[in-house]
Amino acid sequence: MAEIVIKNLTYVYSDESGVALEDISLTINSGEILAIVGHNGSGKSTLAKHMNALLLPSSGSVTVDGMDTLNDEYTLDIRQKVGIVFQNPDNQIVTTVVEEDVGFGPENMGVPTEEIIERVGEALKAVSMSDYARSAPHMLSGGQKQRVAIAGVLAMRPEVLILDEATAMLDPKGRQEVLNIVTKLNSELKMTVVMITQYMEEAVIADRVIVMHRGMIVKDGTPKEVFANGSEIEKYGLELPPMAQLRDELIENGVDIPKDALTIEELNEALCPLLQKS
Amino acid sequence: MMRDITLGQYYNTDSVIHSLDPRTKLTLTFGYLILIFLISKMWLFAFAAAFIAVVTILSKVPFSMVLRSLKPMRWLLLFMFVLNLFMSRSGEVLFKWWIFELTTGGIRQALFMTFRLLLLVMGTSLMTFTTTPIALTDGLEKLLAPLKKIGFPAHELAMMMTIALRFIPILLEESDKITKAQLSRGADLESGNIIKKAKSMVPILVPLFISAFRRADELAMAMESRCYHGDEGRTRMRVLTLKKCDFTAFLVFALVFVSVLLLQNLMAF
Repeated sequence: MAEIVIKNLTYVYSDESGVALEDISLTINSGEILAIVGHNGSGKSTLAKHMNALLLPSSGSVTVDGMDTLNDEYTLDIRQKVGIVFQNPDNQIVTTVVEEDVGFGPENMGVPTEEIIERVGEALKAVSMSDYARSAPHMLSGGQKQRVAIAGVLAMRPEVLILDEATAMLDPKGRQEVLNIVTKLNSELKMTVVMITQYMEEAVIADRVIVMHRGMIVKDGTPKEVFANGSEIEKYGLELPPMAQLRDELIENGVDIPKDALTIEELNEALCPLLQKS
Repeated sequence: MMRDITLGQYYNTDSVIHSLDPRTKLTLTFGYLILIFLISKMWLFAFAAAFIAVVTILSKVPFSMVLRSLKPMRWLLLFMFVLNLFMSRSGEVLFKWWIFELTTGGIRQALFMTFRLLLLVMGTSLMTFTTTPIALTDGLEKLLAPLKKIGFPAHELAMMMTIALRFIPILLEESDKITKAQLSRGADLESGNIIKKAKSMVPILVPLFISAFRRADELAMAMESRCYHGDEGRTRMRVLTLKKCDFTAFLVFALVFVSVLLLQNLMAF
């Protein structure tokens, strides 16, 4: 299984406009859901693009399963293992028919025709878009288009799925559709997921959260650890997830609930007994 | 406003002509064009017209649609007709005014050129009516593939056409959005003469181009991320195969082609 190891990665823009990433060291373990959060311009998308050799380190190294991204012999293998879904669904669908677009990756990899058809069927099924196989992408909703984009990556049978703010342009319904699929892929196919997001409530479902600020990793821990302290997160221009904000306000007002409650369920569990008591 | 535009003019139905391989249709259309240009006797156009009529019936495309495809050409047809009417001066002079001279030869020539153009447009329209743009692109890529050996970018050309087809509806929608945004800011796009109108397009075109470049950049990134590295080692999900009906089509067309040319050369009138 794929493991991404990043060592002392520094990335400087080629026009010397500044350092985008500074001395990043990070290991992404196989099978985990990792959320990378950070303010605009914190370097989180730049970091993601290093994970499948779209960008190459100025210094330091990125290895996927032991393959160094700087060695261009490995580039295609790395891109097959690590797939990225980008922010704008319109700008990553290449052809005018859904199933052909899903087949685009396998076509590039040189997969035989019969297997491409099989993979496309599987991938569309995994994102519940089988009924739209013959549709034109521009007739689909944002959430549907993004699911097609995910299927396009899945058809390459990757081990790591990176969502580079893939939900940012979607409505709440579309966002939920995408998140459901991602968690399903992680639990059923043991796929490693790296989620880059500005929505803190999405980071809550991750196993591990990394906070980035000005090209550096400033925090790394479980959601409970990272979202334990509101004032610390605010330093980096971020907000606590809504439930954590509610939790803190309740605690401030003297309600006795655990300091690490993050989800509706956890708050529910903590609050119901209190209500019954009173 | 333009959301549901049909790309090209594909007429969606099931027919023998629709099921032909795009390569067959492209080659035969090309052959048909050559035939039309080889015909030098007016009455032989009747054969070409009959051929078109038979293909239209087989394709299940309504005649009215084929005729409608001539509509955008009407000014060109008229222009060609009038031009030829007075350009060719042979035969009897029927009418003379200032520098204009109407001759029987001129009338013959004008009719001849108009028929030729009409048949050309109807023939090529039939191809686009019965073939999806994407199938045309595939067919073109395959047909041009042998030219790759001399450095002709057949695959790149087809990929560009595919992407263009994909982005036409997106950019149309976007230009619509930008137009509305500029109108809501008080832009006046309607009044004034043609130069003023052209100038008022600038605030629409500039954002549209900027956005198109940004999209191109992102698309390139997404394609690379999905292992795109040109034509080398690439397989296809949809493989074109010639079927029995394709060979039949070639045979039928060859018969028409040869018999029309024979008639042209053997008949004295």
